[in-house]
Amino acid sequence: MSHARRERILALAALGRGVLARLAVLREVSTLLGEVILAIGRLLRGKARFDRADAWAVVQASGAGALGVVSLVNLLVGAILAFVGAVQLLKFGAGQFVADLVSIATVREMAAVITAVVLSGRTGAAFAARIATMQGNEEVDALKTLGVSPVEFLVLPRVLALTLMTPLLYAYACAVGLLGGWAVSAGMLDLSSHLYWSRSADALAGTHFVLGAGKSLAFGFLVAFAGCFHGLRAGRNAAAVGEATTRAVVSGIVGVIVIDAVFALCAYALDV
Amino acid sequence: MSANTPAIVVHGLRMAYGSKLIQEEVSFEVAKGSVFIIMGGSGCGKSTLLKHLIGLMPPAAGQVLYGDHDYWLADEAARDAIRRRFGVLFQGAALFSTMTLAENVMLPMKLNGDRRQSAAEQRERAETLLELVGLSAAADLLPNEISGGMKKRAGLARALALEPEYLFLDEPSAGLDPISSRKLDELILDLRERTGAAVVVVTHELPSLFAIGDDGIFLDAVSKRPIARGAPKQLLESCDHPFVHAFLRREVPPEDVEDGRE
Ligand SMILES: Nc1ncnc2c1ncn2[C@@H]1O[C@H](COP(=O)(O)OP(=O)(O)OP(=O)(O)O)[C@@H](O)[C@H]1O
Ligand SMILES: [Mg+2]
Repeated sequence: MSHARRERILALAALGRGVLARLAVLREVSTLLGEVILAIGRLLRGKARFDRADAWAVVQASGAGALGVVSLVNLLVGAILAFVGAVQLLKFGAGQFVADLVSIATVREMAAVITAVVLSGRTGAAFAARIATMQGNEEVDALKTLGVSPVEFLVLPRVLALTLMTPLLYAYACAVGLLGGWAVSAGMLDLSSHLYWSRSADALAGTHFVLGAGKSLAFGFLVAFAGCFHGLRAGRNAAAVGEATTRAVVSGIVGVIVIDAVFALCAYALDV
Repeated sequence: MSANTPAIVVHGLRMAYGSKLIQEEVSFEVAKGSVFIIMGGSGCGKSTLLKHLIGLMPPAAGQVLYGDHDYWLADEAARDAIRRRFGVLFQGAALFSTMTLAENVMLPMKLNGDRRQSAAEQRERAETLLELVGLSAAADLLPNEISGGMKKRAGLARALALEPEYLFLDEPSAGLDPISSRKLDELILDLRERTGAAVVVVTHELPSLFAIGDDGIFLDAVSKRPIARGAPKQLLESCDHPFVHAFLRREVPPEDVEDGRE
């Protein structure tokens, strides 16, 4: 066999292995997804077994605990939008449209995406680290020998808590983002507060909120799922916790952006 | 099931992580009310064997029978019924890090125990068990606030929470001082007498395995097979395999069998 031909075959074999590995991950993802759905079913029938105190701690950590950083980041993003918009719009003497720009961009896109990215780095990472550590300490094994499904005990409360908390955080992030935009418009453009808020109210329609809230529901699920998935998949050494966390954050953020793009396409196609 | 059917039967077990073979042709029986010791050098697969016994890892081949049930062929309900009779102490204790020791011991009662038992009764039982392992003062501490040996003992208390019929202990005396270790041996023997449980213990500790072992198996990392079967005391007298001989006398094995083993 010629050298070049051999090289080509080896490259092809490597490609094949890569594809198979990806497919295996896909299978693991769908297995966990199925298990989560079954666990939700058991929860609805009142049969799911998990630790209430633990679930409550998760709700607090992923909701109220995230308020500070969600506020800061969304306030700044609102301000940045106003800033960028103002520089361009002032050239056309259309300064007052800054309010339209900030409000639509915030409610439709930024509040949901930015909040999800923050949650991925904060809460998704924490989920992965926690579950990976439990994996390393044999705590997950101990749960299994007690006849408890780790999906029910660890994944279900986390996925539910974050899925339900993210839309709430989104609503809050909208308010803070608009506030950031207002601060810049009032300070830099001398746009009256009244005009800013009334233009915003005119520009915003219910569909914007529905779209944003719908997305954040999906984002919350995705971020929590990615965190738990990589935590459960972690190896059993100390380095594994770091790896699981990194993977959870990366796949969380990439997933959020991809889902956002899908939503944007659908919204465009449906003309909403 | 007659009175002298073994509690656990392992037949032709082959254990592997993926394509990496750990042990094969492992067969033994554990009688009711006896202490069975799993011996062998570090890394030979003792903890892995326990994982197969307690339903955490399916065998590559072979069977694990509890009474008349082949664990790995049984349906989920039957497995669950078997698992409820287990008490397991993991090598690293595996305490739940967000729960206090008392809560750790109460968790099996909450999940699998008698539903009529009140929280106060569970707490009382947890305290009794913690006292049994000498940890009554630490009941409200978190696992990261106690030492390694204390974790081991707390893990044992948790394993005993539901009066198990099958008790699995992975190196219970590792990290314990000689006195605590001795007390632990007595606790295990007492438990065996009182409850008739089948106890499977992984241990390296010579005084302990001679004191409590009714039967045992010796795994070998090089041939990846068991190399001796029988009560540790008997193996000490009659086993002529050089590695087992050296192991049980705490000697350096002859050069020719030493390589590859730790
Ligand atoms: N998850 C795993 N994946 C691959 N190999 C593993 C895994 N866990 C353990 N092993 C390998 O299996 C072998 C047996 O491990 P095991 O933990 O059963 O040893 P052991 O006899 O309990 O050792 P020790 O006395 O040190 O606890 C080791 O060589 C180890 O490298
Ligand atoms: Mg071990």
